[in-house]
Amino acid sequence: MKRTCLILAALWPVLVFGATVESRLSAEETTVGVPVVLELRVDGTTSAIVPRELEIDGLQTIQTNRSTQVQIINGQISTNALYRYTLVPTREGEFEIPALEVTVGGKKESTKPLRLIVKPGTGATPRVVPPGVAQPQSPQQRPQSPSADNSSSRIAYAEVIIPKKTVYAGELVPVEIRFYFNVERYQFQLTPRDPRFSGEGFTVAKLVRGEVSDQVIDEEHYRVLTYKTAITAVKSGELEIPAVSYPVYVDMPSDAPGGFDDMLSQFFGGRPPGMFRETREMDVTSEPFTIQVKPLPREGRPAGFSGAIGEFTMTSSADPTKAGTGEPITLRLAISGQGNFDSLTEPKLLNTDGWRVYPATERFEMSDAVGFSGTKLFDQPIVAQTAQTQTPVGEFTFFNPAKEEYVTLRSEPVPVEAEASGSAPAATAQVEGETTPTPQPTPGETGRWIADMRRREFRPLLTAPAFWIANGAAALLLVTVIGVAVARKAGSDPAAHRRALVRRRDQLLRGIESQTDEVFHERAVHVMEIQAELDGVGGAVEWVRRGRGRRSDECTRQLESILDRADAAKFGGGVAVAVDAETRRLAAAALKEACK
Amino acid sequence: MRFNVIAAGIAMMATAWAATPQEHFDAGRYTEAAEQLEGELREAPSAEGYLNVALALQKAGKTAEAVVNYERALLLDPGLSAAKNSLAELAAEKGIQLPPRRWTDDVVAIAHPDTLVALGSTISWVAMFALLFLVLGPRRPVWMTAAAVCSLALGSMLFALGWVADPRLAEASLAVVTSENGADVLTQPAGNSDRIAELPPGTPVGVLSPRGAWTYVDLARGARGWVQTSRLTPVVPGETL
Repeated sequence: MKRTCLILAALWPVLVFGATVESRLSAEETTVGVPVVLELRVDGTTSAIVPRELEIDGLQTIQTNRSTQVQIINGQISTNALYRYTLVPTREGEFEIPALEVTVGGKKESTKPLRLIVKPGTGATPRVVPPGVAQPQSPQQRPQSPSADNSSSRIAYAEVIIPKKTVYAGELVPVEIRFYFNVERYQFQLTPRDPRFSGEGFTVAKLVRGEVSDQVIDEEHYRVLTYKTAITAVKSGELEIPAVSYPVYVDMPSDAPGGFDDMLSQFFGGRPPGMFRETREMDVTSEPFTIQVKPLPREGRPAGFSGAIGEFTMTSSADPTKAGTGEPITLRLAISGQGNFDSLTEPKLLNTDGWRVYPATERFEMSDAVGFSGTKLFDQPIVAQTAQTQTPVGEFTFFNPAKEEYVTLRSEPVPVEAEASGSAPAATAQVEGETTPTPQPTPGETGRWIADMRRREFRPLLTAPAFWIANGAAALLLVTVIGVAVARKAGSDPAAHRRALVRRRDQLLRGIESQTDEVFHERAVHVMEIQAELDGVGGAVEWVRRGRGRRSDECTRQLESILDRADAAKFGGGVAVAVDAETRRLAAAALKEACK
Repeated sequence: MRFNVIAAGIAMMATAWAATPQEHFDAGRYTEAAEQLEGELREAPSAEGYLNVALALQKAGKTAEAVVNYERALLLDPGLSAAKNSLAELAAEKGIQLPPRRWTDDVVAIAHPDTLVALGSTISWVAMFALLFLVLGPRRPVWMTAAAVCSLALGSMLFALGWVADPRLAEASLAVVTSENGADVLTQPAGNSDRIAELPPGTPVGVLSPRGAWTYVDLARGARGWVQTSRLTPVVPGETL
């Protein structure tokens, strides 16, 4: 019941007096690309049927938002609805915004027609500056502070920078396009599309997105997006470079509904930041401009001119510089500088007598983003037909637009050592003076069937088992020979024999006193026999006898006792004569003393 | 009349069937000459034979296959100047980048590596035995000892040269791009990775690591990257990547 009363209360003005509709523009004048807001206000209701879009030639129209308002002041209820349309002029002129038809409670009401004057845009004019030099903003390029009440102000703009106003047909001219966005007051969203830049009478290289920088212009913060490209005029005369445009989305403040600002000021001291904003799509554009295009002079144009325009230098190198028979040398001609590298063709080779020249391969190494400057490399395979000490030279012609003259470069010959090719027919042709500077070979000239085919293996001799077996046999033979020789040598050497006897004697004497009687005597006699041989005496008995003068009597007596006991054991059926330990010790000491 | 024509045709077919590779070559049937000789070379490899195959294939317009066979000829006999010249001219004509010249090329141009190895090992052994007899003998003339030492050094050097310079050892992993469209060298073994170079058909590459569908290769100028294995043919017959 209460709800029904409220609805009836809201509708009673409509039912009693009918609704009133009114439209107004945020500005009566604007410029191309700068939007204005058309506000349609319907009093006495919160719902009405209004046109969704307005079709006006030259104005792009979007209904951006709708708001309603209910006010109760001193018991008096008032309602209204606000509908807003954003109008973006796409061309200059005077536009009539027709009467808008609004249906409220089944009744149709109309607004009054409005007029909008659109002036030409005040976007940036092209500036002629050297590339890479930052320029201050001119006054007419300064963006103005936009506000809800001043929609003719600058939100974003573009400028096109070229290095000169007069160019030659075919000349590659670097172009820089800068887009300025006022990020102090607006938020921008870039579209994935590239800027539109094309026109008649010139070609445009690929647009390359460059750096993003920040600039403060008139105390406003601008973000600057740079694109780089290059244009080539294809015909002479006056050339109009049309406007560059770049679609972006901009988020900007919008008008608050009537009374809201007062209410917000009363309660919050002002409108909170970010409240009442809208997003629009707009084109950031530059101003079109013209440049003069001159034709290339016919006077003084060399026959070998291929259309290269710019400033270039040429260097040459060769790899390898020493070439055997039939081995190709790569003559590299490098053309560096700035200009239309697309038009650079293979340099003409001079002094090719005695050389066979093959088609060159080319490669371009850019040193900037758009291919205006860099180095173009021509790798020319050449094969010496006769012995050569230097390479041919390259000749290249271009037009220098700065000096306005044709320039012909010639490379230096590169010193090489190239042997004559085994390809007899070609060499003969050169010697006989046939005027064919760059003969193209055919396979048949160089190849002949070889009937004598000798068998070879893909497996090297080094990996063949037979090779290693043979080497192993040789190594074995060597080792055997060495072994036999060493053994033989050792056997025939008196000193070695003597050393062997001494080692044997010492071995027998070691610990002899602790042996049993039988072993003691056997060893002792063996020691005496060895010592007799060392002293050059025939037998142990004779050695003892001859040594009497040199030894003590006790020593001689001990030695003779040993011999006697050994004989007794020998002739006594192998039974050793028993002696005590002290006797063995004394005998051993005498034996050792005698052998010193 | 009809009988004569048929008989002549049969005779021509019989002649072609029974012809030797050289007869095919001389008659301009290059593909037949190459195929027949390749079959014979499987049993008895020969540098001159592979050179003949390469010539026939080159005349038949099969550049990449011709390069493979030139490389085979040079593997078997690195001093075969006819193969070197023909390959160099073909590479220059077609823009194929060959591996840079090595110092060992001059060595093997003088003598075959097998010859160097055999000669070096023989001289070394003789010198070693001579040195042994001199050491063990009753008299040791200085000049004979010096000659034996020098011979041993010479033999060892020849042996080492033959070992190092043998392309069958140094270039055993050589392969050639044989696909019609050449091959892209990529940074990674994936089709969407960055391209390092574009190799025309007939370009030799050194195989570093075959990994199934992709092979890691070494290019002539030192760069390395991945190439689709199906686009390569190993130079050594019977090898697989």
